[in-house]
Amino acid sequence: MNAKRLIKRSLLGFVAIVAMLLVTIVATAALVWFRPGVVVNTPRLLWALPHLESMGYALELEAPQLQADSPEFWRKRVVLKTPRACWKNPLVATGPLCLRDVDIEVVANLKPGATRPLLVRRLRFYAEAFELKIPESTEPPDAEASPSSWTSSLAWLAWEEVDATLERLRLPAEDSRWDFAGRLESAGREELALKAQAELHSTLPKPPPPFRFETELRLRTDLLDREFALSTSRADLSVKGSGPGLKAAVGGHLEFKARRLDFSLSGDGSWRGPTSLSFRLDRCQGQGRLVEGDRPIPVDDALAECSVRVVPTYPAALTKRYGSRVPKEFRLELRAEAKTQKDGALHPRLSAKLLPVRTPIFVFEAEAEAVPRRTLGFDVTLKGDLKLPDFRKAAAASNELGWIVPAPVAVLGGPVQLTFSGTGESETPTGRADFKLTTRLRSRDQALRLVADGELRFRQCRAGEEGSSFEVDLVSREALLELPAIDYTRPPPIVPDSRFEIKAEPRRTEVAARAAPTGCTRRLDLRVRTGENAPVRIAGPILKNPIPVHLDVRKSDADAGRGYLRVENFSTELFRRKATVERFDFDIATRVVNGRVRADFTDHRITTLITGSADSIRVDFESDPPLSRQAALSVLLFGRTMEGLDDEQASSVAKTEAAAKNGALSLASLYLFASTPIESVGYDPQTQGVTAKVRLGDGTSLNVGANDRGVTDVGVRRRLSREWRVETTVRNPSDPQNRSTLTILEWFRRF
Amino acid sequence: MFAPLALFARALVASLFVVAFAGLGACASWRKPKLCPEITLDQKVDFTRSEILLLCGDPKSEAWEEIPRPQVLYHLKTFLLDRGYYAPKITSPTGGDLFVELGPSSELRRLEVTGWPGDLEPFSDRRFVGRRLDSALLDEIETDANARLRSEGYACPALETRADAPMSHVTVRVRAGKRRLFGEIPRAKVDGFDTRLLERFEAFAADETYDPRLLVLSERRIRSKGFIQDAVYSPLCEGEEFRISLHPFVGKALFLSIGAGFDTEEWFLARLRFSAQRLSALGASVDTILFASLLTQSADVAVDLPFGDPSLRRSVYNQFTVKRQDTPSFESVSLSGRAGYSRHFDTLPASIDWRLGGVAEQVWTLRGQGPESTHFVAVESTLLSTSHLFEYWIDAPQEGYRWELGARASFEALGSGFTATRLKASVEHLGIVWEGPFASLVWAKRAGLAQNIAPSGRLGLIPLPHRHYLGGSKDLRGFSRQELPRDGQGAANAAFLGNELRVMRWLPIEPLLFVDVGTVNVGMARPNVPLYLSPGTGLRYRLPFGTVRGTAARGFSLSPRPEDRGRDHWEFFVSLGEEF
Repeated sequence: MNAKRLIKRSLLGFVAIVAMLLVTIVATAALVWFRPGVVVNTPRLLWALPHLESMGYALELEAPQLQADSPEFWRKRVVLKTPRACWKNPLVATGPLCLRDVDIEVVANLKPGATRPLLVRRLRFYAEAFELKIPESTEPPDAEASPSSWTSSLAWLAWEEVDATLERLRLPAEDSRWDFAGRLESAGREELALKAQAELHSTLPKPPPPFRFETELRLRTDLLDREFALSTSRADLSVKGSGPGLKAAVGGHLEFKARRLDFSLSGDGSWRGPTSLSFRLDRCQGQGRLVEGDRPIPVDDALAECSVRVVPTYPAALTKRYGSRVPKEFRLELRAEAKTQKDGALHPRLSAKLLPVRTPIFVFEAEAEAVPRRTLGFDVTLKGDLKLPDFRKAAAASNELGWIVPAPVAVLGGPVQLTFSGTGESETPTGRADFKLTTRLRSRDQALRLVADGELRFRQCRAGEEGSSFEVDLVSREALLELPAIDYTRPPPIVPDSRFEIKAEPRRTEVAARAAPTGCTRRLDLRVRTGENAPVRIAGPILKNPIPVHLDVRKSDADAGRGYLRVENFSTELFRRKATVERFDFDIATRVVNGRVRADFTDHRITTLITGSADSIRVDFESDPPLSRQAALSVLLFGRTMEGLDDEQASSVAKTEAAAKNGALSLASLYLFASTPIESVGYDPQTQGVTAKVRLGDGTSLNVGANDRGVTDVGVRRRLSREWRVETTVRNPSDPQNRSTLTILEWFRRF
Repeated sequence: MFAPLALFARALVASLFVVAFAGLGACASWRKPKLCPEITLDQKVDFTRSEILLLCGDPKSEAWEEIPRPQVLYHLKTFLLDRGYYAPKITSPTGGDLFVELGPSSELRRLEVTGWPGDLEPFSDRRFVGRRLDSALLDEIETDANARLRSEGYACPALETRADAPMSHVTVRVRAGKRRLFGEIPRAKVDGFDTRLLERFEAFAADETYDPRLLVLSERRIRSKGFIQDAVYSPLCEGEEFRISLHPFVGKALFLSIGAGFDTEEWFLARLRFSAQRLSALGASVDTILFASLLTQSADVAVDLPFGDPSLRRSVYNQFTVKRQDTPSFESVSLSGRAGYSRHFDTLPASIDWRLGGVAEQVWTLRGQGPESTHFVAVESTLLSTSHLFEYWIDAPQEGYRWELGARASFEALGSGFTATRLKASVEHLGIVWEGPFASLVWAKRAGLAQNIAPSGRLGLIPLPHRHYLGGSKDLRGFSRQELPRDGQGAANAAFLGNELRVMRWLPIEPLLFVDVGTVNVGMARPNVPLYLSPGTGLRYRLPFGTVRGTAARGFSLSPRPEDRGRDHWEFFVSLGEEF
């Protein structure tokens, strides 16, 4: 019995305790619910701060005041005020992040099902300057991790009065830093105003003036509505930027209604430089539909089209000089679109089109399109077309600019067209471009028709990797060019005397090292060739017939040039005789020449074989019927066999033969012999120079190639004509008393 | 009354003319030289026709009628750099025409030669330092260094020249290679001709250090003799290999020439020469020369009969001469014959000719104080040495020497009309005594001594052509040809010494100063030996067909004899082809 009573009393006691506990809890909860300041107050905050620091949140509050109350049953209000609050986190900022005059009032709507449970009724603070620390992690951002939707973040947050000032936020970069300052302020219940300034400073040793941007955004939105219903928003945007020589202002209007976004932008800007540019955003309109979900760009069916007009202002001297030949304006059509495809993915696309730029010299147009990749960057396609309607005008303009388009090419008229197209992506980045150049140039005496196909590949590379490559295949379809009527026996210097060192020029290797600091390889492959049955023909006053030259020359990084020049089957003169060049090859890489020139005489056919290196050619002679080498040379030089030669001619044959055998007969010497009536040939074994006395058109003679010391010419006999000469002899050489020097003009003959 | 006015008016007009012409001249001198309508230079530059075509265009060619401006600038800079203007300033003040300020051009201040062989004397920069640093100077430096190396045996040198124009500094890097010998030259028969015979004319031997000038000398000797029509020795460098090849052109063996000339000593002259070469397998030859001037007429037949090994250069010579001389002192006709043995040596640095033989001569004196008719039979020998440098520079004398010794003895016992010994010696030497950037100074010396020795009282038997005279362009240039001794009898002995200083490379016409001194003695032991002095000056100019020399000298008698008194005078000579 006692046990039952004991159990009963125990149960009653337990129930009473539970009830008391419940009552206590309920009373406490009610107390906290209706008097939240009991729990949320300044002493509790001061008690909690050390615990927060031990948890890694080093928060310092100076004389904080924390109050909480319950203005309504479901709404609880918390007010925090402090003259200064600082937060230390070395991972985020280099120093403490401090706010002054902090005054925050937040009302929480704890009613179940409330759409925007948190209302920031008042947010006021002044953020002192601080510098963010850029995390050193090099890991690429997680492409699959979708950022939370901003609309979802707004779903539980509402704003009422905001007045936040940021003194300076410094964001360091590699060679620069960004400084941001601004103030966000609510102006009325439906308007949010943001004024922000940003400055971009260079941290290089000699920094340029900073770029400054000012942004003013006035957002009219029901986001601030107490009803917490996002249905209609309008925003007016104004952005002004300035920098060294740069000024830009963009204004726009955005309207968001029923999840549809429409915007229009307009603006202008200018950039002052050697050639100043003024920009005008003529019309820029767009629309789109806001979507929820994990998307980088929370829009769909978006389309934006803008037209940009760029008007350059050239230097006065340039305008005065080139007048209407410089482009007056450039017009760009920009287009951005994003649309969800069948696969459910959003496919954004950006494109820019440069409308044809027309000048009297050229017409240029280009298009570019960029498609964002799923990861980072863009896939870019590019195509363009450059036309020179009249090459002669372009050459003249180019020459006025100081870029040499030399004679005889500069006088050629006709069109030149360069088309190119390419693709690339900005992530790696890599790309390739194909281009085609065609010319159809002609003048009264010349022609040049070329077709060039080329490919440019580029990729960012590391040391040892293959980098960019450039391949060109230039084919000459028709070329007839004229040589100048200079004296080829005494040609003027065409290139500057390389023996002079005027200024220290960096060595080629140094230039290459500077150009390719990464050390990755670059490939260059240029090929210039003549088309089938379309040799380059070289004409000129010194040539009776144009010389047809076939060529196939390649130049790459790996070699200094290879390929050949080939002259085939044309009639010319060699040693002043009609001759046929059966073949003349020149190997670019080895500088080896190989030529066969045939000359037909009444009784003989003599073939001149030219072999060896271009610097030291070897000349041999074949004849049919067979003649000795001397006899063949005699026939070639003077049209007679040795029996018909006078002393000087015979001597010339001997010297020419010696020079030919010795490799001292250069191509220039051959040209000299081929083109000019020769009176005599000299050969100086000391200098290994070939000299020739040639007959000029006016009946006089000229010594060509003789050195100034006259070693070759030294002698006591000088020929005046075939059978006349002046001879200086010593009479009575063995009798000093009667010895005398005698100079006489004499007629002579060997027989 | 009007005369002073007229005089004043004339003076005024004349003054105006002078002022006007002076003004025009001044304007002309201030005008900047125009290369073509589009290009004006601040100083005159002699561009070649081809250069002007590339700068100003060619109106005859459509393609080259107008040269693009950047190309003109490129060519201008190239051409001016070639002339040493390394920093021209080219402006276009009017936006169209070009105005060219040539800018600085430097003079060579330092010539640095690296890699020069240590066994050679250092490369001299005296000829180059101080001269304008242009491409022609660089060419000349390279040519000179190249020639110097080759002539010292470095047959295949390679040079690399760099010029720092602003610093006036030139560096020549030399890779001299190995020192070479001439080596054996391959010789073969060409058109039946044994090229070994050419060894007689070669100025070098296989074991001597290579010098290309000796190849030139060899070729010149062959041409001069006419032994064959021509021959060329060509050295060839192929990598490490060096060799010389011979390219003979044999030609025809018979030669005929007829010529005419002039000089101020013999006036008009004419010559006929007939030569027959290679008459035997060893290269025997016959040369016949007929010569005629107002003073001398002669017929000369020389037969050369080589024998033995051609490299030993031995031969037997025969010569027959008929000669008439008409000088102010005498007129004579002589008939002579010579025969003997000759030998030629070529050893560095000179060649030596030695002759030993006999001579028989009959002389008829038509005018003058000598015997009317005499003859002699004599033994004679001559030794002539000519340095290779002297021979090489024969056309532009500046270095080398030549000396000659000769003796002839005739004896009455051998059938001569008199007994006498004739001795002669002469020497000639030239050298560059000073070399600067714009000129070189050549000092030439020559001396001669001739002596007839005969028993007392027998000198008068020596025919006049074989006595000694001085005067003329060969020895004493202040006296006319064979003016001394003045009695016209000729001298028993004579001696002279000449000194000449000539400036080379300064002007195209080379000035010269000279002093000749000489003496003649009629008898063997006559006292009071006279001394003659002839200082003078002259000019030398090299024409394409020979050298023209003109001299003016005053002939003085320093210890005058009665016949010399009052006979000091000026003497002028103009010669063609004569050197010193």
